[in-house]
Amino acid sequence: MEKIDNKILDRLQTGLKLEASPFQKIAAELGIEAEELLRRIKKLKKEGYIRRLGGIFRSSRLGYKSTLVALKVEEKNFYQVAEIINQHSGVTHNYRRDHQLNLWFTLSTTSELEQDNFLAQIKALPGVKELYQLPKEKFFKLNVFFKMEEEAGDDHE
Amino acid sequence: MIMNNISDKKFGEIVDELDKKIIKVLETDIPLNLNPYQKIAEDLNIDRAELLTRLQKLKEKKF
Repeated sequence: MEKIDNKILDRLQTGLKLEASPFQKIAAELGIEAEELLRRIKKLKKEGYIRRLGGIFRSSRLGYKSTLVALKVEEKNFYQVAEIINQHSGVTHNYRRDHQLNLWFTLSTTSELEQDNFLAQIKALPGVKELYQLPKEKFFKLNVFFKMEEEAGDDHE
Repeated sequence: MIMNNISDKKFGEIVDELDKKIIKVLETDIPLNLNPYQKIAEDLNIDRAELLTRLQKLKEKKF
């Protein structure tokens, strides 16, 4: 990855303007041609540095029911349970954790009923010993920015 | 998360069918060309100005 790619990744994370040619604008800011910017974005995507470039919406505003779920799963059934959870399209994160509650995932469903049904199904799977539903009580922060470009002064090359 | 089945409860009262279609498209990747919104608008059979106006409104309404 070249230096300009770091700059591109930093800039893209701050969002695209809702205007006719958002890439043109970013290219101008970075001092490169729009064609070069698009070519580099495509490459960064192909190489797996960019997962997705698109809209991000608030699922709760769209009428979705969301919760965090913690499970205690027996080791011999662990990956099988994780695989079944992954098949639900409303599961956005699913992690193994170093704790007796060893499997944690987030679930968004279109209704409470769908949530209840899915969790009942998970709870009944072989090896699932405990299941805790941990819905959000208060929202503090949701943001992520991975700084790719070092400040000029931090550059120890 | 791709919202294949946007809930009608509550959601339907606030935004209309076209907004739902716009959200579904935006949840996938936007086209990597000089006029990405033009391409999305064409796919939805609306003009670009309308798409941008609606996106602006969805943003203002904190969707």
